[in-house]
Amino acid sequence: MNCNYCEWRCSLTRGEGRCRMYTFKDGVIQEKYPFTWSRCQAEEIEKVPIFHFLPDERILQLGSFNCNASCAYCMNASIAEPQQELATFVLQPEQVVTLAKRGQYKIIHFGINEVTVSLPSALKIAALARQNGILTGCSTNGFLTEEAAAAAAAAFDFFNLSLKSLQDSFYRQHLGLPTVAPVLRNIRYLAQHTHLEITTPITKDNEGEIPALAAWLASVNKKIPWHLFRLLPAHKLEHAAPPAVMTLVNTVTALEDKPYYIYIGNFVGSKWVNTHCRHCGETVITRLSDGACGARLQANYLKQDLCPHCGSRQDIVVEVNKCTA
Amino acid sequence: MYGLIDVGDWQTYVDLKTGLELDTGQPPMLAELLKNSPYPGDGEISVSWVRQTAERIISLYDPHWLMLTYTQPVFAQNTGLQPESLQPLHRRIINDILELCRSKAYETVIVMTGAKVPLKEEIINLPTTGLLETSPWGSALAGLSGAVPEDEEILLQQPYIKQVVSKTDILTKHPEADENFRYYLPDYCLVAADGYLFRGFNSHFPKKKTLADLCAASIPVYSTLGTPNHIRELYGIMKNALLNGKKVLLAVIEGYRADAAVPSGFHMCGNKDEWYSYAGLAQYLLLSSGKAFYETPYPPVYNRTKKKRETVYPFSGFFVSIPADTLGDLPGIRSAVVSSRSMIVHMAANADLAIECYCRDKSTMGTMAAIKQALASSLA
Ligand code: SF4
Repeated sequence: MNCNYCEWRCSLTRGEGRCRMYTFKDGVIQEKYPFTWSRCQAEEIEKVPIFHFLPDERILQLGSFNCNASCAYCMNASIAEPQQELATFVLQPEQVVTLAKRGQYKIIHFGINEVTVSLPSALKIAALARQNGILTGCSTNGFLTEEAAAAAAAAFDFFNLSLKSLQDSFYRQHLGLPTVAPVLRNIRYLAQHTHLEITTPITKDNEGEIPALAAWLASVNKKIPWHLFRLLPAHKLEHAAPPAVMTLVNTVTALEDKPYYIYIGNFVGSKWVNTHCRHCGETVITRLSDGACGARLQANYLKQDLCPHCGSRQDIVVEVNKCTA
Repeated sequence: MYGLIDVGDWQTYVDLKTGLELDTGQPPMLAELLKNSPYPGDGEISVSWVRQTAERIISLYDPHWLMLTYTQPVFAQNTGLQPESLQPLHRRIINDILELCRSKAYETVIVMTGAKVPLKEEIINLPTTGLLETSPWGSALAGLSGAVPEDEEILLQQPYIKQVVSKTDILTKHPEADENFRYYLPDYCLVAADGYLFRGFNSHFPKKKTLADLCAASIPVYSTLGTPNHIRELYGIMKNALLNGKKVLLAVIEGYRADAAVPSGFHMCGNKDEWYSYAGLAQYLLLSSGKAFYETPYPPVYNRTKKKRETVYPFSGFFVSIPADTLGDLPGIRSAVVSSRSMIVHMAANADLAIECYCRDKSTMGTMAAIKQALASSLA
């Protein structure tokens, strides 16, 4: 029996799969650690980063452990590839939803590690959350199978997908994944079916790819927000230098074929995390980068979803009807 | 207060209250200092960084009150350093401090904080309706929020909980407590029995630990300014010395083994008020301003489910205002800080100038200088 959650499609008949999170038992694929988490915390949606979906909303963030990739520069290797025993805890769907309601979180987000390796748990929580008027979203490396991507798109309200490169060779060398092809396929699919934002961690090894990545994303949909992370390499590359801030800024400034919204962050004090109206160029949301990952909202000048300067509609989801928490 | 942030190849100069970039240029001397003294990371190498940066600040500004903080023993223990290797690290730090004080004629106060003991067990789930919350690293101090009346009985029955203190009791005793303190105080504050460590909501680092923090009733202190019985006295002792024309260096060394011998020259000094043993932000504020934990806007444990978006001091952790009456803010006294602890110390000290590492989670993001406006203008 092969696992159908990610494109490794591991055989589970004689093992637990590459991510060590699934097993084949009683005739079905099962999670080894259902509803088992390594982290549960309060965050702001901008920290995911998600900048164009319910700005300023607080999220309840859950992360499990392990991963289906093995990124050489992983920032969360202690969770994604733990070498030591972790302190984990179990939270059943009802407990998660109760927690969200008690804290008045309108959104539950599955992040920290790769959602695919705990997808059945996440989907069950998402279903119960939706019944209770709570939205859900996830962060993923996008290496899901087509069927898993479809199930996730139907269950979650937003995605942050990490596209690291367009090159199979980069995926093989730096992520331990055989090909980028399923990631690109899933981006095209998710862009049509849900709210999608893309993050690309930039190191010195892929900074030259920024123009090609920008052009490819623009060809999918120019409205997809794109977060460029100046990556502080960690894990196996912890001694590698991060890319220079102004090199990134100058590269982005010189782009011609590109998405409308490009953010440069993951370093403290970044000035390139604000949203500008693509029609008149005025600033509609200001944010502040305090370092790791996304940013924090500073001021939201939108009038509903309209630019306060020129009145044009912004590509930002400001209201979701089913959200009642 | 202004902030100059250096991420290695790029700097930005901001108003620390709003986080907004300033349109005035940064003081060139400060920009150079950060460029040439980047925080090298949390390993032993940053012991030298503290010393070298302190020497640069002394030659630039000659502060009367200089505060240094060392977190290297915490990180070293987190990465598995054994007690026998910890002692040489402590000795090295203490010798560094004493040498600096001798060569620059500072009176010396050294406080060792963050006691650790071998871990007996991690407390991850409680059979309560209320939610267990603690610091991202896990702690011997936790909060329970969203509690129901039955929870108190359950808490009192847990053998690994030494003390259960209700919000009601704390606020009844301290009706003057600040609004921010009241807002974030959880329904119960819980003190773990020795050797136990709370994990829970907001616990960021899931790796199982071998050491537990200890809510230490007394901690080792070294002082050339007399022998205090409680760390709350240190504020007055240092203030007097400064007002009498002495130069004073306060060093805080975080992370020591409570089961190891007290370093020579140190004595054990009270570190507890009521039920609370000082640690972290509250301890820094007690040292710098003499304020007890209930006299600050910051509760010892936070109910983070109530976390609001921070609109002020975005680079300064939980701080919502600059603390008043600190040693760093004494009129006519030049003051400075060098800290390998991110976020807290530049605010707690409220010194004229502070140089700190800037870290998030486990990553060093750069180096930050916090500088008072008046000094920034005079250096411009
Ligand atoms: S999720 Fe991917 S890596 Fe994990 S078992 Fe399934 S196919 Fe293998």
